[in-house]
Amino acid sequence: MWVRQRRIVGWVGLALMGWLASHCSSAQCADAVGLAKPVEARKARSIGDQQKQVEEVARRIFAITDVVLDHHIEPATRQEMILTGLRSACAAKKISLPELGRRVSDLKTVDDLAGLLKELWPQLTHGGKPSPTDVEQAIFEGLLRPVPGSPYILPAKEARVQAQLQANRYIGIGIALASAEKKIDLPQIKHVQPGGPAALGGLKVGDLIEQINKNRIEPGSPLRATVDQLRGPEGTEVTIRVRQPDSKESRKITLTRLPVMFKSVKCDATNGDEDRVVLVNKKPAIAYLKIDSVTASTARELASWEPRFREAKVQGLILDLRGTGTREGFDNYHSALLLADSLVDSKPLGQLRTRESVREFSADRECLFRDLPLAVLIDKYTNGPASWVAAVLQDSDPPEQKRRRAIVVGVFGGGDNFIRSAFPLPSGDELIMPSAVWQRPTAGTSPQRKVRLYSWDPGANESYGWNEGHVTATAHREGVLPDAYVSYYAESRDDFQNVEFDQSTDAVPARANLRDPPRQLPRSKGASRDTSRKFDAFEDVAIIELQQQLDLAAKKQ
Amino acid sequence: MLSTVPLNGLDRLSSRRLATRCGAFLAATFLFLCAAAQPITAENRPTDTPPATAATASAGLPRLRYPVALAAADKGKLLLAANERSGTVSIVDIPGRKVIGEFPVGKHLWDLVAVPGVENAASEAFLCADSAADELKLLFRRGNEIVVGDSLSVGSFPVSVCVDSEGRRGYVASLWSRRLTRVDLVRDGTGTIHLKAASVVALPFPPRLQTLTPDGKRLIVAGAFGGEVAVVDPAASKLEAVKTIPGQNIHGLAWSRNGERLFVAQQTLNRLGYTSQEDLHWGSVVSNVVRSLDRHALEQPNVDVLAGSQVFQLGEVANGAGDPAALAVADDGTLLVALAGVGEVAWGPFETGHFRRLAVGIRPTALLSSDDRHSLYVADTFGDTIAIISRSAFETPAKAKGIVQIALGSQPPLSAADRGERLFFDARLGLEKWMSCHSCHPDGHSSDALSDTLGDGSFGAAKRIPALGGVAETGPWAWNGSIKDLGEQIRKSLQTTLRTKSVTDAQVNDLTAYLQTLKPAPPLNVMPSGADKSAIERGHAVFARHKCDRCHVPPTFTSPRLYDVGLRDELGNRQFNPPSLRGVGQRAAFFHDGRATSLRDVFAVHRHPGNTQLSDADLADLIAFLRSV
Repeated sequence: MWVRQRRIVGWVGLALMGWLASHCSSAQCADAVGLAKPVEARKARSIGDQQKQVEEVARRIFAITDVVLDHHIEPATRQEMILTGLRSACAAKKISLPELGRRVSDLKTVDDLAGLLKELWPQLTHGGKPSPTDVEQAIFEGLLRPVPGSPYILPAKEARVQAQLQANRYIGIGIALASAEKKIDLPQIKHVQPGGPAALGGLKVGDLIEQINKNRIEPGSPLRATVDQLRGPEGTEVTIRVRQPDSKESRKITLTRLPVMFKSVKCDATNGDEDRVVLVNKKPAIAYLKIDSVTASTARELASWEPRFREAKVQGLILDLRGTGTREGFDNYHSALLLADSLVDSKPLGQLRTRESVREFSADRECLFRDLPLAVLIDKYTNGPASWVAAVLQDSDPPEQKRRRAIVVGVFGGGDNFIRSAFPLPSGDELIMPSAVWQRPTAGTSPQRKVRLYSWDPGANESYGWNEGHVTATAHREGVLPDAYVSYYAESRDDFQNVEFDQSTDAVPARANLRDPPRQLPRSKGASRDTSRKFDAFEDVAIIELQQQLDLAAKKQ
Repeated sequence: MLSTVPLNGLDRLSSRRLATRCGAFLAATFLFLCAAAQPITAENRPTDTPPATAATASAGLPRLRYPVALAAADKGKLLLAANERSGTVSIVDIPGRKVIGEFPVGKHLWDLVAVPGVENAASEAFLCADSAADELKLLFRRGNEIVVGDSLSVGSFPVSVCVDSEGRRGYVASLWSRRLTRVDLVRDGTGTIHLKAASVVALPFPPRLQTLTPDGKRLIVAGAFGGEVAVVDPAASKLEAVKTIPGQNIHGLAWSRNGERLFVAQQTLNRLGYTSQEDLHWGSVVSNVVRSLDRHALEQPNVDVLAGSQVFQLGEVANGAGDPAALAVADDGTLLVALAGVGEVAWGPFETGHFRRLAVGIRPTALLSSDDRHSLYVADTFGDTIAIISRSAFETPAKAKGIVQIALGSQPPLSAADRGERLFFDARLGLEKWMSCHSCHPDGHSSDALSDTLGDGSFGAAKRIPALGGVAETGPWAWNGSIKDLGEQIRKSLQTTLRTKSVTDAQVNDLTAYLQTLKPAPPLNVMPSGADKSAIERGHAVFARHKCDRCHVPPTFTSPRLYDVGLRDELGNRQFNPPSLRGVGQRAAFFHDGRATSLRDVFAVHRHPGNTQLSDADLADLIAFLRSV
């Protein structure tokens, strides 16, 4: 499999189930997912067939490299891509071909490439191991390796699902599947999306799927095939027979495929599907919201919290953007732009740079939580779109200004600043790759920032608390440097590798405390934490920062 | 007509609503609810046959009336409705639930307010604007009759009237002439009242609604299309401040009970949103809202108008609340909003912003709370009916028996243009009822906002919304001039902007017929104020000398070709079809992306076209000429 491996955390509904099947599970469904549809009829291939196959491979290589050259924001050269592709095939065969670089650099046309491939093919496929199909896959896998921004090819079927996820209009019944243990080996429901057709129809976590419509599911059959049967157009019906693992009794349920909404904004990191206002601090009243991923619905979901916060007399808000990179498929930059726009009042939103143009964006005056100071939590799993939102919030006030729209709290953010788009390939699959980069509003100015560094200090007399230090820090690559750096969180010095602090490095990681998490909550002055919550260093610092903001606001009045 | 309309009560939260929709086993129930809750629409209402009516035959001949304003009379026993289309005032007997008279008073009526301090058992006075006659009319109710007492010429297209608490002074806002006229109501010795123009305040925008602050010390005037809000000192007839709130289409103003907050019913349009299925669905393009402004932030000249402001969403995902058109505050603080585009009334406590909705007709545009506060009267403009909603219907919506509807008279068969007009104002045509054509082209004009539609072939380069007056004569259409047929443009807008589920030929034909009736906005410079004729003539010469008429060819001041005049959009397009200049003086933004916000900037800053240099004198003359086009 040369489709990019993705890190999947937990369930994400039926949609991600597709990913689980295609990326994490067995090789049995690999063929269904591979982008380059391997040429069929592998047995007893005649020389003529082989020639045709090689020509087809050459055409596909050209089609993909054409798309990269035409649309990628920082494309590699065609020769680079082809060379890496062929070297990848050589590596698979464990051979090396002399003068490959020179020969590739002489290629001009697709016919030249076909000629070269025809010549190399016997050496690459000699002895039938690896198979011609594997050689093909190795070539395509290598092809995109020199291209920046981890491009990957999305099979046509998945492309539709990904578009639905980004729009938060996934059509289906709302379950996530995995294979049950070997003994049973039937597809098993791992998650039922609340409010979805499956949940309302009575499907339960743990249910084993025995039959879909008229097709019995054979034990050990590919998960992928089950997914394909469950999916379908909006409004169509699917009848499923299920049973609980410990039961002999089957239930037959007919469901209509409908849009399944995945909440992208949750009131809490766990069990966040409810609509209750979670106050992490009572006085001042500081509320918490977790943004799981930045989708088309995120801004509207946030807006729905505004009246609830007003009712609860909330004074400050923590927006948790940690771990947004863990739900692939949902995020997109258009949604990030809409979200950033909804959180600032007539501030610059940064730039989008394509090969042809630079587009400048600015927010309108409409602004959610207008009177609430925000604390934005980021970590190294915060992805690109969410980082853009954090950067816009951070840049909405001059760095030296004390009272701020938002304080960014956490560690150096993750994600890159590529904007990825889908480009159709002749095969119907899509090439997902960076076609633009976003730049924060203050891009081009000094990457140095004054940072407040929080390290955990158990203290000499058992009075737990935060050591606060001020340093100037510089980010070595794109990414968001927090205003309040929670060094307690750092798991290792690697977490600081992209940041340079101007003062003695001893001040930075506070390593001594890394292995000493507090057993008690900090007793900051006037703190009124919700003590039933699990201690979270980021959240704790955010409360301290918001408290300071509210003090400043009170002083001004 | 006495009929009942069942409730269209909605779940509190969008997710719950979605959840309800998702259940296959609930599908049958849901369908039943849908059927029961189906509002009266232009399609399913039997408009060709006059509705059975409880009113007397005195309602007269079949005709289109289009009530747009309501006023209570005779201590709440009577209700007066000002009819825009027929120029008549209808009198409704509230206890009798019937129309007892209809009186011609003008041509096209807008607004109707009672004059305090003159009422007695037999007689009351009202002020009413006549937009076609450009007059303010003083009406008297004598018994069950309406007579015109006095008329006064005011600026072009008067649309709203306001009277002080003593009934001594009235204020008329005139849309196209952009002026506020203070009118003194002079009582002579015999007890008769005359209208006398006292002073005029020039406004920098076309106004529509106005309201006096509860203490009567300030008059707030809102823009007809955009988000401008003017603060006027009514005693001194002085414009104190002009502020701008986000969004457009301000169609409702009402004060909170304590007088500290002004509620504004309006629409917002996000230029960053695409008119794609998903952005529309999630409310990222058009939102229908009530904005609550702090009175001090509004009144004080140097304070941000949005300081301490709040926004309440009227619609919800999958069930938009297209085109709020009127706003009222009940005595318990409940907000009531007429949702003209979806034929509903929304109500809810403003603290929480949780609105419930009730279907009332085709296009409700005016609300009035009864004197005893037990009922709400709703004028259904296209339905030519008055709906009486009892308070209990709001308090216990689940048990409400319904709404009493009183037909003002029968309607004739509708012409294609009339049907097109209904479609134009119908948000049910748009995906999930977020917006109608009117949302972005208010009354056929434009808010001059930017919108990112597929009109130019792609998302990513938002374009200024064009005004539609005279649009039938200014093909080709779209900024890139790609559409050669108006019907085709209408179909494309329905399909790719409103995202209408299925567009029929009949709809396209009717909308085309309606757009053909729209006239360009009248020029600013031929208003009664008069303009410097010689400046206009000199400006005409400048226009000719710089060969402006090569692209902006009279009489439509446009031409069918594309030109590169040094403008470039975000996607690199440089060739644009020149917009017509008719009524250009009434516009608030210029060029494809609204980069210029005044005619002066078009030349002084952007040096249109190309790099044209104009002397100050020529520029002033050219602007005078353009304002006369």
